[in-house]
Amino acid sequence: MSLLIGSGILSQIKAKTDNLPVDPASQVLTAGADHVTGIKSQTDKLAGATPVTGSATQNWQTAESDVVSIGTAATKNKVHDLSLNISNLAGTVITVRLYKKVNTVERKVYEQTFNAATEPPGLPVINGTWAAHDIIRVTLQSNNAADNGKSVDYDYLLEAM
Amino acid sequence: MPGEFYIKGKKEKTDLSPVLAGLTQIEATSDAIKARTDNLAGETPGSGSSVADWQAAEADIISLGVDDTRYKLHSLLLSIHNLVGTVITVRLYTKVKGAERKVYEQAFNAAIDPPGLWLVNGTVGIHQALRLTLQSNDAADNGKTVDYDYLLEMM
Repeated sequence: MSLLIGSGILSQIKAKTDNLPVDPASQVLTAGADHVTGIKSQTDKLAGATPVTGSATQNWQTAESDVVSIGTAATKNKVHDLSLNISNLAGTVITVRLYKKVNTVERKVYEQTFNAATEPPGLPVINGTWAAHDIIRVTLQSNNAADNGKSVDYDYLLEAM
Repeated sequence: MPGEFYIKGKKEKTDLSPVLAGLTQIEATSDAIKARTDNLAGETPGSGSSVADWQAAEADIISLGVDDTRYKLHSLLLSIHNLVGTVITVRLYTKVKGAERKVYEQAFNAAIDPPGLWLVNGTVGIHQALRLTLQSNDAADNGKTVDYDYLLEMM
């Protein structure tokens, strides 16, 4: 059979193919997969974190006391809901406060009073969406000594950003 | 022949198995992404009506969401245009640490308030069913229809 390509051209082809990466297609795919994995890590967050429910028992009348701290320092979260249950309390002035850092110093950013005798036992303290990149501390205080030692339930839903 | 060397030498380099494995991985990841991004379109809006003896007793209008399933509730509207009560009390109930609690109560006057009540006009996250009730102070409202409209987004 006749050789249609000269040895000079073959040498040039060899020089080029010798410099090819071992598996260019899979290298491109690996880079693409890294990007897709990065996208997935963000879209996974849209499912929200596992909801957190629990309760705290304190001497609520003796002093303002912590109910729960939400979130993590230096971590961005959306808080979609924070509900408290004060069905065990009897105080006519139940004061709920939220604290968070403003320019690195914790400040009170919310305060509202409720009457356990007349208001719904479930308090939707955060019923929209708040963004936080640090801890939100929730406290409660009662004006009734009968509330000391009683449990307060909490329930919240976070979405990592 | 002269060209055969190059074909043989590159045979391993054109093995498609790593490419196929990479594509399979990307497909699985893409499926997971699509599942999340599909949720962003929101659920089919819920729109309907409920008939009850609203004055006889506080009665359910509808329950939104599903227990142990995370949703964002973007909107909840009621229409009380068929009612005449001067004290129309709307209440929302949901579970807080496993037990259903009343978390909202507001009274409206059908004679002077707008017929459309925009109860949730922002976004609130829920992971338990949210039960909506209504009660009227006027017996003429018994057997009347109350309309509702809501929009959920699965998380």
